[in-house]
Amino acid sequence: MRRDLFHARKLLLSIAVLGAAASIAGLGTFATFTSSTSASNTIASGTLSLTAPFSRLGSGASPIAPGDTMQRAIDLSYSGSISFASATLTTSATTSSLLDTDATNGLQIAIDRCSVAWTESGPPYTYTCGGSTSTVLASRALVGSNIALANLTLTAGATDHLRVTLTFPSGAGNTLQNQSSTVSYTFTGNQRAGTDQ
Amino acid sequence: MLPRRWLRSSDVLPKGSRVAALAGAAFAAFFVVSLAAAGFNSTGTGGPMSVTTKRIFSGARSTAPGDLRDVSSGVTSNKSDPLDYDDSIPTQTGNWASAFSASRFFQIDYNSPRPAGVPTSNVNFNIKYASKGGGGSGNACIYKIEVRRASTDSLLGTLDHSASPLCSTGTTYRVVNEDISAWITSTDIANDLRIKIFGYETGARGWNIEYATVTGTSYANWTLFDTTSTDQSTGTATTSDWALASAEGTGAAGTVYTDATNWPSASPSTSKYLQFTFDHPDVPSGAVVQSVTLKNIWRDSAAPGNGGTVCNYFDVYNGATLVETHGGNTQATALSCNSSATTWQIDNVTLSNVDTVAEANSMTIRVYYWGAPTCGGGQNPSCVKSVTDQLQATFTYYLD
Repeated sequence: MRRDLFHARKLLLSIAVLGAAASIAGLGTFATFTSSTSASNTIASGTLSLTAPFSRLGSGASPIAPGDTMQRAIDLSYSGSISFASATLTTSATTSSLLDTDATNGLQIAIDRCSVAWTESGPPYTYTCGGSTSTVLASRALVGSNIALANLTLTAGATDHLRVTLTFPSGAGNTLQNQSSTVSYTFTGNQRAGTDQ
Repeated sequence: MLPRRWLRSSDVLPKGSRVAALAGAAFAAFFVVSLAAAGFNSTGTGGPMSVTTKRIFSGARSTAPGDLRDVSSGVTSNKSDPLDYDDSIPTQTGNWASAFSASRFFQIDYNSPRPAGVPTSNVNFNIKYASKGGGGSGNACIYKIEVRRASTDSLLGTLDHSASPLCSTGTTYRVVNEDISAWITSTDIANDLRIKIFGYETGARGWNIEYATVTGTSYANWTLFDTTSTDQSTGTATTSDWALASAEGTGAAGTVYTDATNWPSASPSTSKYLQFTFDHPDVPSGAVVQSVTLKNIWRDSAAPGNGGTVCNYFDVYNGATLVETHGGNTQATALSCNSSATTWQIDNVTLSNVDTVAEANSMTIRVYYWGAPTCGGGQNPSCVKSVTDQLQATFTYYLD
């Protein structure tokens, strides 16, 4: 009996070692980063960090009427050591109403980038750009997942100055009276493609 | 003892170790798959942002006054819509049958002053009625009440009292307040409402209807007044419009209001006028009144002739307080003049000083008419009356 137990433990240990080896092999096969075993080189992975050091997106608006617009600025900072390849926006309503479920007459979102920091006035907040502007997101329904963003810098160490504009369509009818929504914004930056290092 | 190839893990490892081994294997598999599918990413967040819309969007809501006082003679005469007020001026129906008949009813279409798209509550149909009396008269009885859409005549619901009709005691008025909230759930329906009363008079006589209104609540208590009633108590329909409610432009009797007495000559008299009270705009408390306009469509009852005309100006009151005046008391400064008995003069005036909820909800208009430059006697133009096709106020407001 003791001998059988000894053999069984050896067998399980062998399986565990093989599993670990397979895991490492899998990483080497599929992961973005690779490493070298050269004795003279130090290989360290970079950092990827997207933060929003400045944001007015927490400033709500009430009560709004059809035709109203709400401008809010947010800075996206790429503070890591690795640049991003792309960025997306996911918006979700924690308190939902026709404002976020009516894709046509509910709130619409558009995002512009200014090459320098937006000049803010208000509240109510409005913004002017002292540099050049570009469209990051053309007007569309407010709520969506992984919405592709364009014309962002995405370079490590850089900051994109964005202006989010919500529009309540002038064609919104009386069914949208007395509606209330709370919306959260998540900007996601995705790492650049792997390159030779 | 089992052969080695049949050895089970339970034979060699305690239960806790087995669970740990399985969890470790699952984690390893998940780790490999996850890293195989994704590179690095990072997220930044903003918000949450709360957005709320106004309770009532800005819009124009129009209504005609129900209360009309004719003071053209210098003495006040109540010419209000008889279906609107408990003022001892009842609407009189024709003679009903002595028992229910599906072809005999009294039908009322209501005005549309409410802001659209707002939920309603506590909606009631209110009627005060009795037998008109007379020889052989009995009791006025309501057999059933139908609630309908005015625009389509589609039936919303029925208050069926066939098992126990609601009867007055002779000529003593009975007040009935029927809850119709189940069918009137929004102002969209309230603004398109028809009530159809099926009844009879046990002595086959007529009814007096002291008032028949609809009341409800949507941010404010409100009252709807009739615009058109159809008396089919006899089995044959007779339609009556509230004279001021709409602009028919025909001048037909019943669709216009002709004042009682010829207007004075040469200059207006501050004691001779038509007074209109807008007592049910029912603008909710807290609303922002953006504008109020008054439309008066009128003409002469007959052409004065000989170069004569009829002119007017009007005062706006909030209760007894003068708010503003439009036009002066000479032909040159009058708000408008009209020498025709066929061409309608349309006066559209912005009441810029009516800018609060209190002023909007208690607005009284006094219109002073006179014959200009003079009238009456010799070769002078004739002194005439005025004919009002429509008097309507439009209130533009919103509620945050």
